[in-house]
Order: sequence, then structure tokens, then C-alpha cells
Amino acid sequence: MGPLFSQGIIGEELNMFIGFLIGILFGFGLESGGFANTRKLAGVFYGYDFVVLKVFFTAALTAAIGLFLLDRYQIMDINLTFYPKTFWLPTLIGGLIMAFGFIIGGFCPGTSLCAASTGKIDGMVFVGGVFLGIIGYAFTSATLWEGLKNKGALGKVDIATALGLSDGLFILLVTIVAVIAFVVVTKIEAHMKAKHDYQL
Amino acid sequence: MKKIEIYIISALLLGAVWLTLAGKIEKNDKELCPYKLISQAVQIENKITVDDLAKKLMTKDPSIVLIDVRSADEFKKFSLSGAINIPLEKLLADDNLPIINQEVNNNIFYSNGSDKAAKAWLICNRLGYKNNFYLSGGLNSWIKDIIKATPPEETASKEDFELYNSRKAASIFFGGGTVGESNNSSAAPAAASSKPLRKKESAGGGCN
Repeated sequence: MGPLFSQGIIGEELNMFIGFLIGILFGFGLESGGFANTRKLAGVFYGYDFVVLKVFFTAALTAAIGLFLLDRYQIMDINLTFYPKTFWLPTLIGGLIMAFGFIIGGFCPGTSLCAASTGKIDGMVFVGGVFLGIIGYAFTSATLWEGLKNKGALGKVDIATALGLSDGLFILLVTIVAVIAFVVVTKIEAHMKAKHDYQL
Repeated sequence: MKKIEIYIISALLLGAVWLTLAGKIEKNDKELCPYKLISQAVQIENKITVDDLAKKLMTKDPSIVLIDVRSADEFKKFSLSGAINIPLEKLLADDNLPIINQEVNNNIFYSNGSDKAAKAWLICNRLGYKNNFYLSGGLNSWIKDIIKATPPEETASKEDFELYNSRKAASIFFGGGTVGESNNSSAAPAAASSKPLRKKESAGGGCN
């Protein structure tokens, strides 16, 4: 049956509108969870607040388990969902830039928009930086980054196939890793809070 | 850890275990996206025109297997020379599978129009069977364009005349001599009359 858009079951307008509604809910969730506060994200790196890690790990696993279960019961064809090809070198560099951005700025792109829309000046500055980066890359991609862009092409790969595991087993393993991570970070959190008395 | 966190973790674990136990499903059973299906169905490589088929039959291409997917009654009344009859309903019968699922011959499905033959091709394509094609326009097009080929307008292009000539030759070859005779009104009746008669007889026997 699904996915709806790539099979033409719903049109582009409705697809955009559904995206818009989900965006509103996502933004609302981020703001209510306090994610628009830079200290929340920075807390992951300093060890006093791991809510961001827990939330995104949970979200990723919920999506993975949900999608593959829908696929198993033939409600949705997972082959029709989009995922990009892997270019490991530019991804690694991009990942490092993002990580430094997270620690230094205290936002990820989503939470920065949330913060900016609630009137936080640091959020607005961050969004401005994001746009500058996007425009800067767009104008120099053909001249400066053409070589780097396609380095380390691996094609469409996923870890489960590379390891020779079934998707289900791989997701189960990741879930177990997540559970262990949750327990460990909760302990770190309690320890750091007791030691430094961080305030959000 | 908070209670809610324990609940969430338990739910995730449960879901992951369920997913692992649910196992894999057969890829063949999956629905095909309508866009992909249509784009596959309309590809030119899947069909063969009546002109190409005529050429292949006239050169006695040994790889060609003509499969008539109409009912047995229709097949008895008229069929192309050398065709075998596999009604669409019996396409996947055990006896017929070795014919449609093979990699040696080029199977050409045909019916009256394109519909039934295209359906047969589609079924074979979805099952991953190779070397199957269908006759575009079917027997209707075969009769109209080959057997009863009509001359182009006098102002038509050279290509049109060449096409007509090849169709006329095919028509004579496949026993459509009557066309030659009925169209003899203007062009060289004597030249045309000696050849078609002989051909007509031999090919006529094949058609029955």
C-alpha cells in the first residue's frame, strides 16, 4: 500500500501539507521538551543531560522497527522509501562539522529553528549561519567541492546487509545497544549532576 | 531510570524481538509501484510490431515461438502459421511453464488486439521470465497492416512506399494474395499475378 507519495496515491500538495503538519508537531514537541535550550544539547557532550541522545535514539529505533514491521506485513514497501547513496569521506567530514556545530552552537538545525521562532537571539544567529553555509556551499560546490563530493562512493549500502544479518536481527542488536547506552548515560548523568551541580 | 524510560525501552525491545521473529517475506509477493509497472509495460523493447514479425517469419527466424493466447475456439478459426495455442487462463499451467519460462527462444504472445497478449507478457515479466514479447496491435493489426495492406497516398514519402512494398510482399508471402488481386486496379496486374498465386497456395495450407 504505502509509501503514499512515491506511488502517486497522494499528490505533491497533500504530501507537502502532511509534512507541514508533522513539522508543526515536531517543532511543538522539541519546544515543549526544552530542546530549544542550548544547554540541553550541549549537556550530551558535557555529560550532565542525555535527554537529546535518549530521544533521538528512541525516535530512530521507533521509526526503524515501525517501518520494517509495516514492510513485513506488506502495508508498506520499504524498497520504495528513499535513502541516499553513501559517500563515506564527505559524510565523515560533514559529520565532524555538524558535531562541532552542535557543541559550539548548542543547536542542531531543527532545534535552532525552534529557538529562533521563540525569539532566542542565539537561535537566530545559528539559523543565519546555517543559511550562510548553505548558500556558500551552493555557490562553490561546482568549483571547490566537486572532487570531494563524490569521494568514497559505496553505492546504496546498509550495515545489516554488509554484516550479513537480517534487518530484524540488526535492529534488535541496535536496540540492545540502545538499552545499554540508556543505562550507562543515566549513571553518568547522575554522577555529573552530583559532582558539578549543573543548572539548565 | 524513570518509569517512563523503562516502559519505552521495554516497548522498543518488544518491537525489535517481534520484528526479528516475523522473519523475511518473499520479495516476489511484493506490490509493484504503479509507475514502475506502467513504465515497464510501455517499453518498446517488450513489444514487436507486425512489420518486424513479418520480417522474422519470412526469414524463418528459428528463435521465434508464436503463442496465441486467445481461446481454443478462436485459435481453431484462425491463427498465425506455426503458432501454438496457450489460452491466457492456462498460461501458468504446469505443461506451459517450460515454454514461457526459458532462455533459448523468443516467445511472442499475440491476441486479437494487444490487451490479452500484453497481460500474458505482464504476468511473465512479474514472474521474472525472460525473452517474452507481445505483438503490438495483435491480429487486428496483422490483418489490417500486412494482409490487407493499402497503398499510401501518391504524395506520401519514399519510406511509406517502401513500407507498403514490404507489407505487400509479406501479404503475398502469408497468403494474402487476394489483396494483390483486389488492388490491381492501377499498377502492373500482370507482374503481380504470377508470383502471388503460387505463394498463396503454399502459405494458405500453413494457415489452416
